[in-house]
Amino acid sequence: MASITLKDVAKVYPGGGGTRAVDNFNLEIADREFVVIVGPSGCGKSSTMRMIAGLEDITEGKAYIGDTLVNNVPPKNRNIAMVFQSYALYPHMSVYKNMAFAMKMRHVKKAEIDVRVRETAEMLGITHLLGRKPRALSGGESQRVALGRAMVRNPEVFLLDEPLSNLDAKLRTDMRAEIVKLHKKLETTFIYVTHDQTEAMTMGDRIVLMNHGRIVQVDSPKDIYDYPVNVFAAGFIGSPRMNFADCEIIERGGEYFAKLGEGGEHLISLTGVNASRPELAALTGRRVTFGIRPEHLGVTAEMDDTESRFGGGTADIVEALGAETNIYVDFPGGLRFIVREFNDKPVARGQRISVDIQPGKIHIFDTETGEAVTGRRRHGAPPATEKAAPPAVKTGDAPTDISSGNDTELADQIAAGVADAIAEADGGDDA
Amino acid sequence: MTGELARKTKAPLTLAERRAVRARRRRAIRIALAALWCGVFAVVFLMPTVLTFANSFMTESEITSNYGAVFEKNDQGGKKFIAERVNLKLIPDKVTFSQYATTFLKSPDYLLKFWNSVILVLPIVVFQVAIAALAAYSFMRTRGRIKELLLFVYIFVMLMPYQVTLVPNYLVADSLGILGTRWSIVLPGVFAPFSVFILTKGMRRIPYSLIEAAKLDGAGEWHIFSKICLPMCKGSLFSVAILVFIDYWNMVEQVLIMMPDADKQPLSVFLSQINTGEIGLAFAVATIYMVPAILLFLYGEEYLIEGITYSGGLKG
Repeated sequence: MASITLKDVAKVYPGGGGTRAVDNFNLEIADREFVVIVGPSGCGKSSTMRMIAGLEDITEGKAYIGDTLVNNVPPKNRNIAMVFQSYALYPHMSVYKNMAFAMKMRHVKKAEIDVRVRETAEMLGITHLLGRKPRALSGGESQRVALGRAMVRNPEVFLLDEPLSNLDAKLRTDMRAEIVKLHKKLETTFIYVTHDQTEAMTMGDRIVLMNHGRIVQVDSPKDIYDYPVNVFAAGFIGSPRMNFADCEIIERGGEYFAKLGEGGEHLISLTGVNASRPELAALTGRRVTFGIRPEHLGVTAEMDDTESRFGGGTADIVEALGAETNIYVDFPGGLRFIVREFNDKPVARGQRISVDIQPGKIHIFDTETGEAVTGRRRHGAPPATEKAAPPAVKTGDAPTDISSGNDTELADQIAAGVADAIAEADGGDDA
Repeated sequence: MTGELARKTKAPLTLAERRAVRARRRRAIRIALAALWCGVFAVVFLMPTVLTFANSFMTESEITSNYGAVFEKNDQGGKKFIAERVNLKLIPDKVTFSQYATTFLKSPDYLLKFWNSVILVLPIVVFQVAIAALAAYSFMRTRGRIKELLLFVYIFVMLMPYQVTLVPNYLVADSLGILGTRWSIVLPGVFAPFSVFILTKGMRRIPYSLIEAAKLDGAGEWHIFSKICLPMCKGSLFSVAILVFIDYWNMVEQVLIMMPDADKQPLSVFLSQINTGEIGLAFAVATIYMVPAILLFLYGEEYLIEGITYSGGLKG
């Protein structure tokens, strides 16, 4: 069992002017934690994992496994096991020999190898496969054998590089649950790389979201979903992806509204939105990015004018998925949002529908920087319409502050900013 | 019911059905023509082997009566067409093992030459494959401009016929003082670009994740080479071994140049001379000579095809 620390780690590949595949990567992974590194193709997640494994040199920075600096430690001495996307089972060896190979290389006694291979095989339910060659295994069986080969030598860290991407959808769901169960049983540090956000959301204690070689956000799956730090995080996590639209923040009668659409057709109240009044005041009159997840929009039967009403639109595409329906709705002003509906309301293509919005779930992003204006820092703060002093942290704070999850530090920041925040809030109201 | 069936069978074919029938007929004709073409080639290629084998069981007098013209001196200075007097026979009038008896019992010279072939060719095959495998592993594990350039040079050298390098080889052997010894054949033989090329192609087919998995499993370079790479390119190894064996089993020129001592020369050289005199024995000796190559081919046929296929259209 071991923790992993990566300090200012960078990977620069020679050629093409020195591509920085991973840059300024700082992360602490606790012992027995299940961390999922997720991001689009080419974001540097696999390079990061390979640097931890020792399969790639670390160009800059330091990597620790436990307290040991491992920058120059060869892979075989890091006591880590890796499950590859292609499983990487030795095709000329039987399953038994595949599992025994690592121990044989470490001169473990034959009798002990036998005991450990059989124990692991028993645990994974692959005892009947021990005599088979990898070519005689199905995808799921190969996956189990690959896991078994990694488990059998009791490594301190498990690295899993997109291990489910070659499986069909059903098997993937089953194996996802099995790997989580395995992590609980083995009580070992797991690092799991995937580009599939469903795997990231369902498996990890924490998610490390990467883009262009850098960490975008490190958070629990729930928090990364609820409080994305920028447009990229908001768009990457969640399926279907978050709806985005350019908007303008306006103030009317002491309340803040988001004006959406080419001609400002939609006026959405920002009451209950997770941002302070001064922040909204600072954005008044500016173009910002409005975001709402499809599940936070809903189809209503009544055409009402309540706060929760988004507006009427035309259902263009209706994807009935059984438990839910994704409706692509065209609204006046050139807006096209996806509405995720969990009720069995029959909606036909081309039908005019009225759509509700959950105002508390609205995300506002600075269009220039892409950073979130709404976020966890304001979680629990009074709504923008109330006069009470909101906790305030400047909008431009580094994402790592948010992702650190250090509540004490966060509380200190909030306390320190209260006085200024009151003044700003008053000023905002006057405006 | 029967009436319906009758109606169906007698019903005129639709246009689509007529086209399908025509297409089937054309395909059948194409297959038949291809089979005929391949059959003719197979007979042409197999004929010398079959003739050698069949004639090795003929008596000396039968062989002379059939092929005497080939060796008949023309004392009038005019040309004689060999085909006029040659009689290709596949079935002997009288089956005899006398040629084999002479080869094995009466003239141990042939067996001695056979043994010369073995002790020349086996070390070449073993060491060439071993050295080429190590070189190929190096080409596979590390890439870079210099390595790629070196591989290109290997391929370039491979394209040169042996005769081109015969003189330099002779000079080197002379300066090393090994001219006339078996080393003058074996040493140039064990370093061959052809085998390195084939094995490099074979090894580059091994998914790199397997090498990485082995590294994580604790294997060093030697274990990765011997436990992962060699077993995984068994096909290429066998094909190289077979091709090298056949190549050196049939060598003539290099032996004649490098090793003029007839006692050390292999059967391949002797066979080229025997044809000029004892034609009866030539068939039996040739048959014996073919056996190791044929056995090797039959044993490793699958690997040979696999190895050649992989060295053709590969990523790399």
